Amino acid sequence: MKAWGLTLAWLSLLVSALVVVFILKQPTLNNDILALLPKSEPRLQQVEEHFFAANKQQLSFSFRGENAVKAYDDLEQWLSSKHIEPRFKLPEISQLAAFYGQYAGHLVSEEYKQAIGDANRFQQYYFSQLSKVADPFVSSTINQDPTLATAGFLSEAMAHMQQFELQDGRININYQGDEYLMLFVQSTDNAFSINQSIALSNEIVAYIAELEGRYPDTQIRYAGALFHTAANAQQAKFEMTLFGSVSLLALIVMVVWVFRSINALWLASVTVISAAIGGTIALISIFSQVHVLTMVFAVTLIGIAIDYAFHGMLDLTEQPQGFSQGLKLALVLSLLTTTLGYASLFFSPVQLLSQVGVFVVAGLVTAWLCTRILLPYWQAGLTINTAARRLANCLSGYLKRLAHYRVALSMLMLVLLSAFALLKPPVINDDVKLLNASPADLMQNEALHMSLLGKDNGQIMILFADNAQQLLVEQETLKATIRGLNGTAVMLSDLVPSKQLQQQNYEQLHSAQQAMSVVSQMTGTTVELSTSMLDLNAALNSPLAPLIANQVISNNTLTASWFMVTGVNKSELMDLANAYPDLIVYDKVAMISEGLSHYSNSLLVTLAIAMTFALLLFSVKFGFKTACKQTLVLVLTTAAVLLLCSALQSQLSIFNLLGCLLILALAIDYLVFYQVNNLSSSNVLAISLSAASSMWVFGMLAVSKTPAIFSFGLTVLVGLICIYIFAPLSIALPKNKEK
Amino acid sequence: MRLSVLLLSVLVFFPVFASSAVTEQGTFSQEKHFKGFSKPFISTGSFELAEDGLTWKVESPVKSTLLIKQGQVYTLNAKGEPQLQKGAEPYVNLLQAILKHDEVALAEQFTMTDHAEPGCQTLLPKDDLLKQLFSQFELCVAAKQVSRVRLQEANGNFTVLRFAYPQIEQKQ
Repeated sequence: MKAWGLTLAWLSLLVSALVVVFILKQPTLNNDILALLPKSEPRLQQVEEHFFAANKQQLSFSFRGENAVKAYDDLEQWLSSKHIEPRFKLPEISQLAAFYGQYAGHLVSEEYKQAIGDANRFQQYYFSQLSKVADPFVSSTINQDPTLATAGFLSEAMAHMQQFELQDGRININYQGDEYLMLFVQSTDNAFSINQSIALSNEIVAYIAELEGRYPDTQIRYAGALFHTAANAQQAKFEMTLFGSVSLLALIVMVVWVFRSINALWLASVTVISAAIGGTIALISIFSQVHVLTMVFAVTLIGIAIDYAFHGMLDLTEQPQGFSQGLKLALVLSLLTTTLGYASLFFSPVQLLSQVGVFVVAGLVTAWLCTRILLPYWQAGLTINTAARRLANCLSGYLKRLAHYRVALSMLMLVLLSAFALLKPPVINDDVKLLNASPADLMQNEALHMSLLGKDNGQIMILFADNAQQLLVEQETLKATIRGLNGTAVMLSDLVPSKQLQQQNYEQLHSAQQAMSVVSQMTGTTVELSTSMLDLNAALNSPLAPLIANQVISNNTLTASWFMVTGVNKSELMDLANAYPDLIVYDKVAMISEGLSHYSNSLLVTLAIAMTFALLLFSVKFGFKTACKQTLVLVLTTAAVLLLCSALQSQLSIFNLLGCLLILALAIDYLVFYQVNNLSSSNVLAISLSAASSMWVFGMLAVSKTPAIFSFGLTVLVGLICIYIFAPLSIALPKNKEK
Repeated sequence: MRLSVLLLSVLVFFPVFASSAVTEQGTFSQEKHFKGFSKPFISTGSFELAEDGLTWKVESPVKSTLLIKQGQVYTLNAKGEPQLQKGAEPYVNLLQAILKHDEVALAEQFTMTDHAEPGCQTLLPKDDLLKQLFSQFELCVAAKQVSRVRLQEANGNFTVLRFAYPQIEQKQ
C-alpha cells in the first residue's frame, strides 16, 4: 500500500507541477516546419508570410484528351460547390483601360517610345495600329487616349503578365505536342486540420476517378500541398498505428514474461511517464513556444529512460534490501554521461535541438529520481522468470566467450571499417527533397505541372527597398540588366512604372510635338496629356489590385517585391544578387536544405562532445586505459552505424545522425553498466531488455516507407546490433579468466 | 488574356495567303469610326483565302502583312520574314469561317439572326472575351461572298469592312 501511495503521490506531484507551469507559462505549440530553420532575417520572414503563405491553399489540375473541356468544366463546378474557387481572374479590358487611361502620357511601351522620337516613324506606328481590324487595346483606350500610348502600354504589360493562352477562359498549354488545359483553384479555408486534408484530398481524388470513368479518353492530373499533406499524413498515421500497436504489444509481452508481474510493467510505465512529464515541465519553463517536432524527436527519451527501470528492477530481484552499490554507481554514471552529452545541445544554434536537449536531460533526471526513490518500495513484488534467467545465463556465456577475442575482434572491425570508409566514404546529404515521402505519382504530377507552367527553368528573386518608388526604380534597372543576360523577368514595374520613368515618358511625349501632329490631324484637336502619375497606392486600389498585392509588400517597416526570372542560369543570378545588396535569389528548397545542414553539423558536434565527456568521465572512474577501450567501442559503433547506413541508403541524412545520438546514449549506458556489474546474468538481462525494448520501439521503424522515419529506424537497428556486440568487448576480465 | 485578345485582331478579319490553291481573293477597305476622331480612319488592302491559310495585306496608308497558315499566325517584319504570333490558333477557325461564311462554324461562336437589311445577318458573340469588345457583328453576303462586315464595339466605336472580289481565274 505504501508503494502505491508513494507512487501516486509522486505522479500527482509531477502532474501538479506540470499544470502549474502550463498555467504560468501558457506555452504554444508551433507546427510550422519552416519555423525550425535557423532564422532568416526578419524582413525575409515577413515577405515569405505575405507572398507565399497562400500557396499552401492552392491546387492545380491538368486535363489532356478529347473530353478535356468537359472534364475541366465538371471539376471546376464541383470544386466550386466545395468553396474551392478559381484563383484571381484578370479584370475586363474595359476596366483596365479606364484605370490606366487616367495616366495617359505617363505610361508608354518600349515600341511606342522608340517610335515617338521620329515623326515619320511615329506616323507609321500610329497608322499601323489603327489599320488593325480589331486591336482590343486600341479599341478600349482610344476614346480616352487618342495618342495610343495607353494602348501600347497595356498591350506590352499584358504580354508580360499573361504568358498563357486562354481558350474560352481556360488556360491552354501546348507541351511536347500535347494540348493541356490547366485549372488553378484556391481553397477559401486556410486552416485545414490533418483529418480535413485527408478527407478533402480523398474526395477530390475520388471525383477525378469518377470523371476519368465518365470520360475515359481524358487524363486528369492533380497537384498541390493538400495532396502531399494528406498522402504523408495517411502513411504516417498507418505506420504509427501499426508500429505503435506492435511495439507496445511486444514490450508488454516481454516485460510480463521476464518479470512474471504486472507490477514490472507498471513500474516501467511510471518511469517513462515521469521522464516525459519532467522533460515537459523543464521544456515549457524555458521555452514559451514548443515545436511539435521537438516532441517527436524527444521520444528517444523513452528508449533511455526505460533502461533505468529495467536495471533497477533486475537489481532489486537479486538484492535482499534495496539497490546494490554497483547499480547506484552505474545509474549515476550513466545519468551523468548521457545528460552531459544531451546538455551539449543546449548551446545549439538550432532551437529544435536545444529544446530536445532540455527535454531529454530533464526527463532523464526525473527518470533517475523515479528509479532511485520509488522502485525500492516495489521490491517485494519483483521476481524474474526462470526461463528468462536461463536465457540471461546463456547470453552471458556467449558474451564472455566473445570478450575473450576482444583484441582480435576490435582490430578486425577497425580494419574492416577503415577499408569500408576508404572504398565507400559516408556522405551526408541535406537535400530536403530526399526526405519527401509523397507517392511517386504525386511527385510526377507536380513535376508535370511545373513543366507546363515553365517554372522548372524559372527562378524567384526578391528585391527589398526603402520605399515603393525606390523599389520600382531598382526593378526597372534590374529588368534592363536581366535583358542584357538574355533573360526575361516579369515584374511589378511592368504594371506600375516608377514615377521617375513616368516623368521621363511625359517629357518625351510633351516635347514630341511634330510626331503628335498626326494625332491632332485625326482628332481635330490638340493633344492633351494627363497630369496625373500612377503610384503604388492607386494600383493597389485598381482592378488589378489582387495581382499587384500578391507581388509587393509595402508598409512602414518594409518594402519588397518578388518576381520570376527565366532564361538566366542560377550562378549568374547569384552574381547579380551579390551585386545588388537588396536582391536575393529565393530558393526555398535550397534554404531548407541549408537549414538541415546546420542541424547535421550541430548533431555531429554533439556526438563528438558526448564522446569526449564519456572519455573524461570513464577516465576518472575506470582509469585511462579502460576509458580508451570504452571510447574505442563508441567510435567503432558510431563508425559502423554511419558507414553501414550510408551504404544501405546511398547517403546519410540528419535522421541518421539523430538515431546515432540515441545509439551513443544507449552505448554509454551499456558500457557503464558492463564496467560496473560485468557480465553478470542480471546485468546482461537488463541490457538485453534495454536493447530489445529499443529495438521494438525504434528499430522496427526501419520498415517505414517515410524516408525520415526509415533513416532513424535503420540507424537504431544497426546501432543496437553493433553496441550489443561491441559493448562487452570493453570489459577488463580477470587475466586468469581470460585464459 | 492579352494574347487571346490580341488575336481578336487577327481574328476573323485578316488574312489570306498560302502555297495551296487560292479559293477566294479580293480587296478590302476598312473604315474605323472612333468617337474622338473628326473623320473615319480608312485603310485599304487585299486578301487571299486558301485551303490552308489566309493572307491579309494592308497597303494604304501603311503597308503590313499578316499570314495565317496551318493554324499558326505570323506577321511579316521589316525584312519580310514571318514572325510567329503565339496564341492565335483558337481564332483561326473563326476567322476563316467568317470569310467563307461558314454558318455552321459561326453558329458555335455567335447567335445568328436575320438583319432588317436583305442579305445581312446579325451575329451576337457568345464568347465572354468577344463580348467584352463587341456588342454585335453585321455580316452581309452578296453572290455567296461576304461583301460587308460591321463590327460594333461596346464603347460606341465601330468598323466597317467592305470586300470586292475580282475573278480567281485572273489571279491564276
